[in-house]
Amino acid sequence: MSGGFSHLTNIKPLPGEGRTDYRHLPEFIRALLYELAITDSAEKKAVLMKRAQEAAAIIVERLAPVGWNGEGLPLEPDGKRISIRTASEAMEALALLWAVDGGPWLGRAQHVAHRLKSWQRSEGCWPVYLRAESGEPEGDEMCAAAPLSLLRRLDQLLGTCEYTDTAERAVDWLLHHEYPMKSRVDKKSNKTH
Amino acid sequence: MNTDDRIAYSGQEASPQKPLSRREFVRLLTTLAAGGGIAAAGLGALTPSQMAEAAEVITARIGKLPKMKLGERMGNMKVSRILISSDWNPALYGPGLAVGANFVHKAGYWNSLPPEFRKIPREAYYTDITVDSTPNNPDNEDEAYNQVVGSLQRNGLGYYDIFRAHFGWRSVDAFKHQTGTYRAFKRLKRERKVRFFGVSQHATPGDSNYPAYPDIIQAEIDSGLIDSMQVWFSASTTPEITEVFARAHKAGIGMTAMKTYAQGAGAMRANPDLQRKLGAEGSIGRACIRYSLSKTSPISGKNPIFHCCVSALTNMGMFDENMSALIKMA
Repeated sequence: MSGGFSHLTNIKPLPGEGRTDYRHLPEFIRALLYELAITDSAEKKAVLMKRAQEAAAIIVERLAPVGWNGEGLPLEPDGKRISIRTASEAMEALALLWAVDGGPWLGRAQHVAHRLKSWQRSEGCWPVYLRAESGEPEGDEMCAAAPLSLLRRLDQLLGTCEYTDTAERAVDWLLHHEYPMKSRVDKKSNKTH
Repeated sequence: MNTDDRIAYSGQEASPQKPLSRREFVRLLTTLAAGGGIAAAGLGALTPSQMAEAAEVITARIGKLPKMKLGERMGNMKVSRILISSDWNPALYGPGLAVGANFVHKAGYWNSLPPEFRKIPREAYYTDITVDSTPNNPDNEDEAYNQVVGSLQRNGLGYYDIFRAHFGWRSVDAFKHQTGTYRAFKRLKRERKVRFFGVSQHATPGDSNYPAYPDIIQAEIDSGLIDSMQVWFSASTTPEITEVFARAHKAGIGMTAMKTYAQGAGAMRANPDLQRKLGAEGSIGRACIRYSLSKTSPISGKNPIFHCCVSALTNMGMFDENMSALIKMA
């Protein structure tokens, strides 16, 4: 391998990176895949791909265990919570990686998308944080953009409309609520505003 | 959606990954033809023509999947024991049909009929449509009705064999009183757009705010309305829940297992003895499928509870591992 990009494979995980926190990895994978798409060097492609797959494997190591309500979604560094926003970003990154390498990533993303469908609130949003074991929402912050992007991506990649209705409800919430300036739940009325 | 992303990740037809050399590919084909394990390492990186060639070798080795009559309530509907699903990698539809898979789960989500299915008569395969009752509204008859009609307009299938209430109900009370989905089914059946009524029932634990299986499944059996039931079943399913599924089978309901891997892989991985007993040591996906399709009823003691299962297949390696599970299995 030439010296031009050997540093990509020689990077050691930073303290605290990867095994304990996955939140930076979706962006990392997307950046590598974009590089991979625009580079002509087969050698560099292989290095980029390997690195993206390593990052994806770290995300997969962080999944909440079977039997928990949040099973199959990556855990926050505290090991107790799930962020719907970051988990959606991670799963979209895995779906994109599948589109390139055909690896075992898509099923993970589909599983999470399926769960998002049943967790969506009637207004079209999701709580940002869930307690991983019980599935109970934590806090009153809501989100929709990251799940929307994941759902649209899966339908795009597979030529299906499995998530169309769910996505349209999310769009409705994004457009007709004061998100992101206000994304809180009124505890008395239990409505987002 | 970001336009740049769409260009950069336009699918698999222009894989930027380095394809296998001819020599590597021939070695891979030899391994596949011999059934020599899951050569998935190579199968993710094939060009379209290499994939077609590999599929030919794999399907020739697998032969035809065994079929089983899907319960006692839907005539003589004989289905392959592993189903095609609309969220499969579309490149696997051809190989799936080649090994005799004849039931498409979630066909209602197809935006258009895939080319592989345009070539064969509609009567040559069965389909279900999962009619969403999310979020939290299984009582909206018009929405359920429109989902079916709208999807048929998109994909031109003409009809679905099973109308499947997706996600099921969140309580026994809801099942008994929120009947919009069933009313939509009756309307659609009169119009010959669907044939049989089924459910894809979610449960706790694993999905929040759903009832425990023994209660909801028993209510669904007792109602006499359900012809086909799709439920979570795997090596991690408890004996109590297994028994209620056996009762559903005994009632003549067509039984499909789902989440066989998602829910069962952990339990299977931790049980090498069970893997060995299933003839799938070290091959977790294969072991999960064999377990789900061979688990016998604690009531009759002989018949498998599940007629078929769903498996999410996204590459040729998974296809090989999963479909090969049925070789030498009735």
